[in-house]
Amino acid sequence: MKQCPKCKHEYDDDGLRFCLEDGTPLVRPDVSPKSAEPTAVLPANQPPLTTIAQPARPDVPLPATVRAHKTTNEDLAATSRPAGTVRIVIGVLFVISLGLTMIGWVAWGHITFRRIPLVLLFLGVMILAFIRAPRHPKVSLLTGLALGFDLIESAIYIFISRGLQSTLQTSEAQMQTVFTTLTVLDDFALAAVFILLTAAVLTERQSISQTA
Amino acid sequence: MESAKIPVWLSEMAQQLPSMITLLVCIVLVIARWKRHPTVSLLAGIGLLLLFLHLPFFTLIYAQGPSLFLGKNYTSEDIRNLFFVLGLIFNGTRVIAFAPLLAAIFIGRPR
Repeated sequence: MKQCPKCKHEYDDDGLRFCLEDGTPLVRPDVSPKSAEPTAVLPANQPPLTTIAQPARPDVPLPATVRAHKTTNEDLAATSRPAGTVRIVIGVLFVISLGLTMIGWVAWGHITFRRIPLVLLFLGVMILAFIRAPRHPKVSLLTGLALGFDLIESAIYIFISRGLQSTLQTSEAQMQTVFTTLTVLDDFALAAVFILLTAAVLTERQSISQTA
Repeated sequence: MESAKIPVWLSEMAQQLPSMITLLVCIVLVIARWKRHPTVSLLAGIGLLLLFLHLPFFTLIYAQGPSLFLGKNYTSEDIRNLFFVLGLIFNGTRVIAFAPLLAAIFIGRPR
């Protein structure tokens, strides 16, 4: 029902917009602020209302959009699967890195001992990547791969260069060529580590406007 | 620097070109993402820049080390001790350079 605020004439046709007597825009008499019910104040200890994500009737299927946002046990299991694989990869790399570093310390203590600060930092960050794998598996995987690869590659580099020094019976010029080649290969490996770490910094990253 | 040691230094620098070029590209990438996440880019940029400066600086120190710290009369034991100390400093400062880069990986991520 609509009413003319000027002549108070009432019309049953809700589609009508103007008064047929004087052309004044019609209003609904029942939506005036005075007739609106006061806002209900609920007691603080009242149980929470049922939301659309918690259907009052579980037998009625939820709309597709709500279902898409609803976290189920299957969803949680699906997200923990890559984290489990990442943790295995990081764990294996950690054990190999630690093992090779220990062998290096036993075999060539004075050479590998000076790498202690870097080795401790990398192993510590690998543990951090292992712990945070469920939150962001891709980042943890990239970090673990980079640091594990660097530790393993450095240990292998030391083994090869020490081994060559003691076994290779060639001229000094040939020795120099071999060690230059090894150094360049070592540097390419370091470049790969930098690429992986930069990728880890930038991947799965939200911009400030998204996080705000 | 002794002029005779400049070619040696340049040769050793050339061996580190792959990682230096990679570091430059990474610095450009991180700066390009500055508007999206400034704190992360700042930390990563500092780390990468320190690593970039670390390489030529220590190449120079290693090339100049014996004459710089030991003079002209030194034994093989002196050389060994010098390179051990230099190695410790090299790795210690590398930890300082790596720390901001590694912190940037985990900082500012949703919990």
